[in-house]
Amino acid sequence: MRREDEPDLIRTAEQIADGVPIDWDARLHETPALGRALGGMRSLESIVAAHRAQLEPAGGGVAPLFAWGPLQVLEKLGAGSYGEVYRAWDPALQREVALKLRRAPGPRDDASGARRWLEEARRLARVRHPNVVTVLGAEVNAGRPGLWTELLAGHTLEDTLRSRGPLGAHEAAALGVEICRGLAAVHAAGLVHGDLTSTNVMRVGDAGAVAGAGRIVLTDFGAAVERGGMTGTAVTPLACAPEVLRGGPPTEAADVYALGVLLYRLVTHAYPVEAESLDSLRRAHERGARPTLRDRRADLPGGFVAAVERALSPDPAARYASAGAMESALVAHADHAASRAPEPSSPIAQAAPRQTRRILIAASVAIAVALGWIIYRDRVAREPAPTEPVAITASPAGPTSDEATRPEPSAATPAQAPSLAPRVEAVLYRSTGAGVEPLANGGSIRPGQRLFLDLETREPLHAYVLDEDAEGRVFVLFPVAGLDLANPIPAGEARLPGARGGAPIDWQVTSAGGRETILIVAARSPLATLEAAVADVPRAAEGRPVSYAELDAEALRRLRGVGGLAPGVPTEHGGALAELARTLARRVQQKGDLWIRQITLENPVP
Amino acid sequence: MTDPGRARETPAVPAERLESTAALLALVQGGDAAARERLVARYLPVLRRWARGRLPAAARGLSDTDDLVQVTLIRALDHVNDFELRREGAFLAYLRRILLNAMRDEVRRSVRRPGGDEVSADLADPGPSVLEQAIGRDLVERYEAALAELPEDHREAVILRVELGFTYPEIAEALGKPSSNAARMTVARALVRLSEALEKDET
Repeated sequence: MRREDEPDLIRTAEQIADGVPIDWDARLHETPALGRALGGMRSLESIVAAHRAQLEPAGGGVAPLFAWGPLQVLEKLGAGSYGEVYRAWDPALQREVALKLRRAPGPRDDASGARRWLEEARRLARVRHPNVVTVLGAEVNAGRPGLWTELLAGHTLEDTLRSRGPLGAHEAAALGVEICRGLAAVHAAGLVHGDLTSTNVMRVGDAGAVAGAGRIVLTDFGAAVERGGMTGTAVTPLACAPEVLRGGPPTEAADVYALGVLLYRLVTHAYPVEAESLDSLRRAHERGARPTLRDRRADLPGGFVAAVERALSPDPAARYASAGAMESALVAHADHAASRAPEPSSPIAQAAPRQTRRILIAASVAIAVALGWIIYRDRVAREPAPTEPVAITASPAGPTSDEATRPEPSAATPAQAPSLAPRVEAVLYRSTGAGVEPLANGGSIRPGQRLFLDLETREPLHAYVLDEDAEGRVFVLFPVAGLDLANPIPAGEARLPGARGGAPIDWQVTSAGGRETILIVAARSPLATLEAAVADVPRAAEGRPVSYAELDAEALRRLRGVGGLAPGVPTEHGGALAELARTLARRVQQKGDLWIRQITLENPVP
Repeated sequence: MTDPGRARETPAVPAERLESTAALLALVQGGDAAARERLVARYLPVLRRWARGRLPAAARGLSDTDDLVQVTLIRALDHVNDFELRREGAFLAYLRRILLNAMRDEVRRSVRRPGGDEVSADLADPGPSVLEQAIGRDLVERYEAALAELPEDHREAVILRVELGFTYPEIAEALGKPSSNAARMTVARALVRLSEALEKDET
């Protein structure tokens, strides 16, 4: 039967079209055949809900239940001990919002509580981060404190866990990385989440059918903000750090602990310490006896287990010092299995011995790689020309004879959202027979010249370097197999494409491409889309050293990578790199977690 | 966080429809200026509301968008005779397409900065639309791709119901269906196909 004729699917689609909420777990239970259509149906549900949110209030169809301050309250979505949650219309923003109304302060509540709550809520409103629910406003009206946020259409991680069962380490780590980023933004604002659990993290914009898709958003700020600083408000005890259970205040370290609990739960569907009552929970924590993550999941990679266990340390000082530190530990494991490089033996990023740029440059003349790009090494060191690097090691900016070749800041302008993007400094250098010099945008290169990239980063990063010539042929310049530098690149200073046996390798320009556009991308986690996009693209490869004097102009024009390499393969569409760059830039806009530079170099055909 | 469809009781276009939109369109095609004004008055609020969801969420220049919608609508009506008008649904789907293009152009113009070839200018992006902010740009793009794959009447059904909030009787009229039940079935089938196409693009 065609899907569009299946009654169950038709009925589900009708409900989606009419905005009737669907209990997917129950629906799946009664109609197992829905399973294969589930991903598309849930995506559809998100799409329709998002459009409805745009349509309804302006359509004037819903009479508001009541007005609260600036908002028209439309519908109750939920209630709890702390108050109620409503769908409301914000006429100023012309959009639907979620309004969390606190219960009116009672006689037992601290009189200054509401004021303190308002201050904290306003501080939270200043946190603008894709992984944190956007707070649009906070006020006290008619005696009731309220906070309104963007209205999220999605599913909680607890929903995902319920419908799919325990996750794998890669997916859990990828979620952990996103959560760490959100937590870091919250902590940077001087706030703590206070009640981080699988029910308070939402995946928005995707039905969860694709691992890692959708926006991961922290919601329901517990202890401090949303619950209004009132007495008697509860957090989720099973996710509570032992020191908070003993009555301590919520802290950043307690948020790190709660993330440990959350990750533990995502891969086991259990809590690390379980108990029937608050007292027995406290006693269990005191005994310190609990099943380790390894006990429950023997199959998980050691690094991931170690990261979770460290976050779960009873002693706050033994946990990760910050959400950012925990992110660094998780990032090595956050990946789709398909695109993974061999797993590092330890998840804890090891800081590379810090080298100075001076040393890197001095060493640069030892060997060459090639690009364009072939790899070129070994005998280069023995060639007569580039044996004396010393003269240029004094200045990181390269030879001072030609100021114009210095890379100006404009040579490679950062893409948007630098605040979230990894902090990276990158300078492309050329080695010539005469020495080493930085290359600015618009600079020119010639076949035979060797290039390398000096990359400085404060955190482990995944870097990608691509090149496109005037005819649209694309090459992957980094990562290059067989060298001792691979993703993730450790914090510190690195010289790309890498080295072998301690001897740096350079890229070598092997032919005249007319114009080379070099795209450098750095991210905290592997970029699956980019890796997939360049999977079939020729890579810089090692070749024999080339004597350019022997080549005629025609060969230079025609061949990409002489010395035993095949002609370059044109990509199907010209401008593939530009397209890729645009795609990535959109991600920068959305998530701000990428760093991109583009450098265009003339490589004139003789 | 969905709502069981109360808004649907209210027609998306003003209820006092003394003449059908199809009849209005025919009059406009015949050069009736008054009919043209009535048609603009009928469509403008619907299209403006639609356009706001497609705007960058950061942009608050609502009046600019309203102008853009108005200009685009009036231009489309200038060419109404070039357009082989089969039914109102087809005309609205056509309006939606040219509006999307006009808004894209407008956004591109507004973010372009002088001094050209720097990456930042080249890659500048006004940020996600309200819709993209709600469900992610990836899903919006997949939705557009899936929508493009549907047969015309199904595509129109989705646009009318999901994007423009038409009631089933309105959809029946716009698509030339015999009853609102028939319109409801067309919408449901179209959504099932759409969900199938969404799955296919999911990778």
